Amino acid sequence: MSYTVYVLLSYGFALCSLALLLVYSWIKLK
Amino acid sequence: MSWLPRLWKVFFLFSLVLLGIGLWWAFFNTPPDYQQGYSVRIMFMHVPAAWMAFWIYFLGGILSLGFILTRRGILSIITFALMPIGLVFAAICIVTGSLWGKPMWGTWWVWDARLTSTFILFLSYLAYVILWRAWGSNPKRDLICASFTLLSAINLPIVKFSVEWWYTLHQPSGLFTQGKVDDAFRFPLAIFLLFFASFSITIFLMRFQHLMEKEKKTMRRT
Repeated sequence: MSYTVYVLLSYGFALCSLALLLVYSWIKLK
Repeated sequence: MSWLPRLWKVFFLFSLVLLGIGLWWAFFNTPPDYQQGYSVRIMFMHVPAAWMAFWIYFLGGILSLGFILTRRGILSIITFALMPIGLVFAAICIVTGSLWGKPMWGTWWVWDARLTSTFILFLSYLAYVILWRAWGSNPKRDLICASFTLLSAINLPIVKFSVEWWYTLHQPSGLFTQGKVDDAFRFPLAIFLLFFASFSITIFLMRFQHLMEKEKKTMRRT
């Protein structure tokens, strides 16, 4: 695999995890 | 507490701005590393996530010590508002590290001192959250969780100094030591560190607001 795939997977995982945490915290707050 | 929603919204907007700048800088303004090529961009996610996971647990340890000494319930609530954030950062650190390790080291994972102690840190976060949930509203919950956090914080110096105490595949620390990392990489690294910190404050304030409202409801019922 090219480096770009590893980079995109890393950013994708990190940002999706943070987005999920945000959504979870938002739902709890409502 | 009416200022809480306003405050986390400000931090959230600030986080979005930092994320925008960070992503633009990482993908359009970062030169390839002479050895690692463009895979060096993974560092901007991996390193700040590792720092956040470390320092949030450190803060949790101090708050837990404070709780054990003073028995103030607010310290326990603040710790529980923080810990799941650290859990997510520990997971990000491990997964992005693995995705960086494969192209650079030729392996997804090795059981060396730094990787193993970071995995133990992740498990400690997980155990804390499970403990808190398992004990529900039992009055002993706060003391048990605080004692566990304080005891498991023994792992933190091992995480920090593992790369110096043992021979590891993971490189030694020193990102901000002059000459070790080029300025071209330091700026986006600092931006992502600020983004992660600002985002953590946002989530912490949201969780703190929720936990305080829940606490008030329980107090009214009893």
